[in-house]
Parts: sequence; C-alpha cells; structure tokens
Amino acid sequence: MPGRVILVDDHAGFRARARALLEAEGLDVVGEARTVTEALDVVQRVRADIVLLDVVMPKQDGFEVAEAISSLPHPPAVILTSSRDAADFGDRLARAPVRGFLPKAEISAAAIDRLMRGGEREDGAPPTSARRVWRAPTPAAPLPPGARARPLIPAEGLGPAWVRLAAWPASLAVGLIAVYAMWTSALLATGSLESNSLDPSPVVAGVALVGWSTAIAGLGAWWRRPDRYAGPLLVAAAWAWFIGAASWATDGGAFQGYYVILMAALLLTYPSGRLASPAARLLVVFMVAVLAASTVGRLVFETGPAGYIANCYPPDPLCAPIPQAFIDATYSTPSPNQSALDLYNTLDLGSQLALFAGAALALAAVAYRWLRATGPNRRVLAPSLALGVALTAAVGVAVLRRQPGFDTSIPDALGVGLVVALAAMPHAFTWDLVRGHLARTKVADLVVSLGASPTREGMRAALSRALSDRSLSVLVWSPDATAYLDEVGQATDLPDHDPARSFTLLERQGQPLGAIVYDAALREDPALLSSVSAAAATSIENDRLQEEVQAQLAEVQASRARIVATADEQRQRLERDLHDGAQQQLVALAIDLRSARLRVDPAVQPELARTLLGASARADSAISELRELARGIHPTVLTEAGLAAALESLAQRAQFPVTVEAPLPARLPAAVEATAYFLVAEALTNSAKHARAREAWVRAELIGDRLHIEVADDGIGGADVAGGTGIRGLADRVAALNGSLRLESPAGGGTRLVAEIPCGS
Amino acid sequence: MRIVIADDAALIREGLARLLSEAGEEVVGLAADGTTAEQLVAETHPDVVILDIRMPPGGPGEGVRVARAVRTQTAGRTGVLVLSQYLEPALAMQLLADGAEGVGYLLKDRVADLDMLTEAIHRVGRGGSVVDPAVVAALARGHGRRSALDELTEREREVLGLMAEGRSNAAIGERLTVTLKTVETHVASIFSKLGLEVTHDDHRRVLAVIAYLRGH
Repeated sequence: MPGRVILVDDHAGFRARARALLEAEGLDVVGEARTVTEALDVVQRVRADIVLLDVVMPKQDGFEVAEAISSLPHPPAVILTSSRDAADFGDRLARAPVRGFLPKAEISAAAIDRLMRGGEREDGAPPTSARRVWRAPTPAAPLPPGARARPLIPAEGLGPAWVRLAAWPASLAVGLIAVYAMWTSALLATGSLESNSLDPSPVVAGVALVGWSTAIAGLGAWWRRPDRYAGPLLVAAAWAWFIGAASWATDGGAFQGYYVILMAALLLTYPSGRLASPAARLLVVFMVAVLAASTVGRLVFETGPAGYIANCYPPDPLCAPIPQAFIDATYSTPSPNQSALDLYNTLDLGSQLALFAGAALALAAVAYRWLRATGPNRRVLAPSLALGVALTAAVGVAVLRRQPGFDTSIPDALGVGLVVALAAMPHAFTWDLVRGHLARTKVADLVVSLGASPTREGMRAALSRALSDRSLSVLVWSPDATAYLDEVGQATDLPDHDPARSFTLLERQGQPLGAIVYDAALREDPALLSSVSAAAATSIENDRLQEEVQAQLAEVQASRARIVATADEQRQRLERDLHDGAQQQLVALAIDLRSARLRVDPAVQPELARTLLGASARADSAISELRELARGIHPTVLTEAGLAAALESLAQRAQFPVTVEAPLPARLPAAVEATAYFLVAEALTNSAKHARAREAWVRAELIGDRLHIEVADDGIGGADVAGGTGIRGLADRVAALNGSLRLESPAGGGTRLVAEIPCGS
Repeated sequence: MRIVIADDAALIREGLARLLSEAGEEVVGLAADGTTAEQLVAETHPDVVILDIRMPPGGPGEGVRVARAVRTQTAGRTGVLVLSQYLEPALAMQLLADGAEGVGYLLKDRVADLDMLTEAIHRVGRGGSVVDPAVVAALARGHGRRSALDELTEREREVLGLMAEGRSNAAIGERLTVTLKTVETHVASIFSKLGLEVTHDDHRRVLAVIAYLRGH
C-alpha cells in the first residue's frame, strides 16, 4: 500500500502523536504542516501519497485546503480528520474531493489503508468529481465512539450461514474422494511394483488426518468467527490438500502444492487478514505463477495413469511422484523426447523449490514480525510461527525426497512428526480466533457489569477482563485540569511514543471523556476494541452525569438549608426591630401617660384623669399584644435559653395542659432549634384548634447526633400532612435540614407527630 | 432610694427618670449600655439599679449579665431590678440562679403601674425579691399532668402565687387583707400539701416555690 503521509494540523501534540502512531505501524510521515500556506507548500515540494488534513484549521477550513490540493497536478489523496464526528460536517464531507474522513481517535495505518483501498471499490456510487469520494455515513442517531469505522468484513460475516454450514459435508466428501482415490491407486501401485511393496495405509491415514484436521479447524473458525479470513482460508487449504492428494494418486500430481501457497498466505495475513507489504503480495503471486506453470507442465507431459510411490515414504502429497516417463528415461529405456523431458524436469524441480522458498520466506516474514513484537502480539503470532516451521520443514523434506538416491529410511520419525504437526497447527489458529470471540462475548457481560455503576477500579477490572489485558488502564478527562487523570487522580500523558502501548480516545460529540490505554497488540481486533470503547465511554459518561446530578442535589439541599437559615435570620431581625422600635415607643408613651397622671388632680379634673387612665391601660395592652406578636415571630427565649426552655415556655402558654420532657444538652444548632420549636408550636396549635385535644405531650431528646421530637395529643385524630399548610411547610423545613417527619393520626385515635433532625455540622 | 437607670432607649431612660423623680425617688445616674451601668454603679453606690434586659453590648440577656455582676461586685448592697419585655420564666430563672436576694424581674409594661414599680424598687432595695405576677401565672399554668397543685384551695393557690412573686407573709396578709396568723396557716398547709421543706427565709422560699412550679 502507499505509505508516504503528510500531516496537516495546527496542534503540535496531535502531529507528534499521529506521527508516532503511523510510523510505528509502518507508514512514512514525510512532512508536517501547521497552517494552510505551509500545507500547500509541503504538498507541492514533497511527494506523498496521503495528506492527513485537520478539518478545523485557523483562518481557512480543511475543505478549502482539500479543494486547493485537489487542483494541483498529481495531487495526493486527502483524508480529512477531526476530533468531531463525521456527521457534524454533513454533506460538505460528501462533496469534498477527498478520499475519506477519519475521526482523530481512530487514526491508524489500518484505517488509512482501508480508506485508500476502499476508495477504489466502494459502494459503486458515481464519483462527484474526478476523484472518488467516500461518503460519510450520516446516521440518524450518533453512533458510539469507535463504531464509525467502516468494517473490513461485512457485519454478517464471510459467506452466508448456509454456505458455512454446507462447507462441513462438502469438506467431508472431498476428503473421502481423495482417500478413495489414493487407496485404489496405492493398491494398484503396490500390486505392480513387487520390489517396493509398501503398506499404503499409513500414507492414506496421514493424508486423511492432515486434511480433515485442517478442515475441521477451518470450519470451526469460520463458523465461530465469520468476521475473520483465517477460517475460510484454512478450509480452502484443506480442500487444496485433498485435491493435491487425489491429484497425486490419479494424474501424476498436477494439482499438488496449492496447499502450501494457501498456508503461506495464512501465515502472511494472520491475524489482520491482509497482506502486510508489497513484498508479501509479490511472494504469493510468484508462488502461484510457478505452481500454475508446473500444473500445466504436468498435465502436458504426464502420460501414465498414476505416479509411483517412489522415494516418498511415508508418501505424502507434498512429495511429487516421479512420472513414468521420467523413470523410463532415467533407467536406460531410450526416450523419444529427451529435451521435452528435461524441460519438464526443470519445471518440476523449479516448482518444488519455489514452494520451499515460498514457505521459507513466509516463515522468515512471520519470524521477523515475531521478533519485533512484544507481549500479547507474540502470543498472537505464535501459531503462525509454529506452522511456518512445520510447513517449511515438510516442504523441505519433500524436496529432498524428490532427489534420486535420497535415503528414505532415516526420516521416518520426522515424517510422522511433520504429519502430526501439520494436522495440529491449524487448531492453534482456531483456538486463537475463538478466544478472541470469547473476548467479544465478554463485552455483553462488560456492559452489564458497567451498568451496575461500578467504581473506577471496578470499571478498569471489567474492561481489563473483556480485553484480556491486565495492563489496561482507564484515564478520565478532567475539564478542570485539562488533562487525563489516572485511577488515583494523577494527570497522565497518553503513551504517544511507546510502541508497546496503544490507546483509544473516548469522545462524545467532540468532547473528550477519557481514554483507555492497552497493549498495542489489541489493535489487531479493532471491532472488539470499538465495542469495549463504546461501553467504556457510556460508563464514564454515566458516571459524569451521575456526579453532576449528585452535585446539583447537594447544591439544592444546601440552598434549601440556606433559605431556611435566611428566613430564621429575617424573623429574628423583625422581632428585634419590634422590640427596639415600636415597643420602646409604647413603653415610653406609657411612662409619659403615667407622668401626666401624676400632674392631674382627679378631684379638680376628673374627666382628664379618667381619659389618662384609659390611655394608660390601652398602652399597657398594646405593649402586651406587641410582646406576644414578637414572640410568635421569633421567641427570644429560644436564642437566649435554648430549645428546652422555649418548649417549656410553649407549654406554659398553651390553652390546655402540655407536658414537656426535654432532656437536652446545652445548645443545638440554631436552625435545628428553630425548626423543632416551630414544629412543636404548630403541632400544639393544631391540637388545640383542630384536634380538640384535652392534653398533649412533648418529648425532645438527642439520640446520637439526631434530635428526636415527638408531639402527641389525645384529640380526634384524622390529621394529614397534606391537609394543613402549616405542617406541610414545616415538613419542608425539616427536609431542608435532611430530617424526616412522620404524622400518625388515625381517626379518633389522637395525633402523633414524630420528627428526626440531624444535628451534625 | 438612690437609683441608677440603664436602658438603651433614651425615651424610656429619660421618661423613667422623670417619673421616678416625680414620685420622690433620687435618680443618681443614667446609662445607655451595660458597661456604663456597671461603672456608674461602682461610682455612685446606688441602692437600686434598674436594668433593661436587652442592651448593648450583649443584646438580649445583657441585663441579666449586668445584674449578676452588680450583685457580686457590691456584695449585695445594691439591689437589681431587671425590666424585661419577655414573659419568659426561663429568663427570670436565669436571673435568680445565683440567689433571689435583692433581685427582681418585672415586665416592662409595669412602668405604667407606678405603685407596683416603686414597691418593687423598694423591695429589692431592701434585699427582697420580686417576680412579676404574670411570670408566676405562666409558671403555674404550665402543668400537664394532674399534680399536687390541684389539691390546694383557691386561697392557698393565691398565697402560693404571692409567695412566688417574692412577697413576705406580712405583705401577703396586707394584700389579701387577712391577718398574719391566717397567712402563716395557709403557708404551712401549702408546704405540707406540696411536700416542701418549711423555710422562713423569704428569698429561699421564693426559689423553692418557683422551682416547684417549674418542675411540674
């Protein structure tokens, strides 16, 4: 694939991160640009295949830059990128002369590769300009992060279910035909060549074992993981094996060897399903070409009905039998067409060597990747490495056996070992794939366990389980710190420059939520990663929403408490103003009146004396009334002497007997005292006014740090919190202090009001 | 009587001073706050200091604080009469907590009742006790359960109230226009019915009676 990339983004951090990421994945970053001008300059100076262009740039937006680039001679492909969703740009994206769009969180060599290749075979819609355009999906609802990447394999998998099902009996049948062909051919051969009369059954058994074992492994993998290429590839290899065997037995092996190509292709493509480099592609093409030539050659030159079981023991389909014509030529029978036979021989040996070289190169490629890989990546590549070794050895042995004079007796054990290895290795791939599949089913469990709103550590553990990566960590974006925070709240950098670590940014509507950091090997399974990322993003977002709701609740609670406190203060001020203002005036008036009376002789001015006396009495009662009014607004005894004294004072004023028991410590918080006082006052008023109570009892005590208040009467009952605004308002007051209030008032059974108010802080 | 008046309201301060002067008392000092009142008492050695219960700097309760300070500083030579706008037995009890001798708690509205006011001033000036009848009435009302009070006769309850107000047997007899002997009979009967220890000290008697009323 083309791999020269220019990065255009005004954000240096992003450029550094993208460069590290893409270079670690084998792309070549040949240039960077910060501004529009720089971008156009670099694109014209440096030859590149791809320009990765930020949509949102200072001064000029990415779409205009893309237009400018596309109008250059030999423009590179442009891939737009943004931390925002493709849907945010609407049909501008569809109309732009670009190869496609990638969210910043999803940038990877694989994703770029997909877009570059996708542009040529995608959807078949007519391009809107000379360049092909990838149409941004415009989903009705926003997709979860990570789910936007277009999958390599359709969601329904490779091949419909009935094809996958039918492949089972078909593979069995192909195997049976091959075994039957070999058996009859071997019997024929042993019958005709007395000197070399070998028991053919181990050979046939070995062939059947390798073929069916490979078929079962492939079918299983295909069935469980229709989203991966390895399964169908293994099934194809099994078929090629059987066809090769049948071919060996019937037509001189014209169709032998294709098994090796398919297995080599598996080595080269596993686990991504793609040939990683042009060299790998060239290798496969080369092997196919040589083998095809060999096939044609054999079909042309083969004359005999079946090949001999010559040097091949145990004879296997990798070891091409020596054609009758070749034997005739070698063993002194004159041949009419020696030069053609020479050509054939060369061709034949060439094809054998080509297969060997192919297998060895594939092994070398896998070994190279394995040596460079770390941790889980090595685990993934281990089956490929083992199969590569077995395959190369098997082909090598076969080539050696092909040589006249090779001692067939020595490598018996080796041959058996190779057969067993070839039969066993495919299952390693299946196991690896199904393990991945198991991991995916864990996503469902993950979503369930995340739904239970776990702790940060619980979420980390769940994600780590789902991805089978113990090193996984969850970072949460903190808008306040403008940084990613780890589990203990430390600001943490994303592992931009660590090739062993990879990460997925979790975003919602362009806003960062967090990131999960994991072993780089997990990038091999992008679908699993995106499911897990979606679940993690949802969980983090839920947590964040919950935190916000909690904060709002706390704020509402605090503001309620503040309102109560403010109301208390206002009442207290009002009471003080009454005492300091109106009441003082009235007292002064009473004094003046009394003073005036001293100067009046009732005997001389009886009328005036009487008037003054009346005025004195009225001033007196005005003072009393004002005193009671002020007391109702806020009793001074409450602030001066505390709740117990205030409750006693209430009882003394009641129109009916009230018993107060208030074994309270010195003082309680002012808001609690006021609330309790007004609660009891209202309850006693109700007892007198509505319940026609003859007696009432008040109890207030501190249990732990909660004030328990109980007011009971022997009245008619039937009271209701919702009924009177008095109690309703007080219930709100109690709730504002985080307390609770209960009213028991059965008809005819008296009324009991119980409240609890916490006094802590 | 030599009197110091402390009240933060100038109208009341001046009005009371004029009224009491006209009634023949000698007003030797006026204070607008508790601190000044204490200084004046120390300088002028009055017989009685009249204190507003609510004054700067302490706000509500300042009168009670100054009253107790004056009683201690003058070793009981200066009587204190606290004028209160609060009909609260609890506040009266705070005032009487150190002893009832030479201490009085009177509602502010009593300033219009010159006879009562001068009588109260004279009583605390002589070392007696005064508790406002309205406060005593509130105390006597605040009884939930049926109590020994219900066993008292109407006249006995009357006598109990007057005892609580701080009056001596002679004053009670004068008030009810009965002989001293009759009053003593009533008092003895009350004490035995309520199960109180008999005491002839008027001040202790006030406290005992008020404590009894409060405790029930």
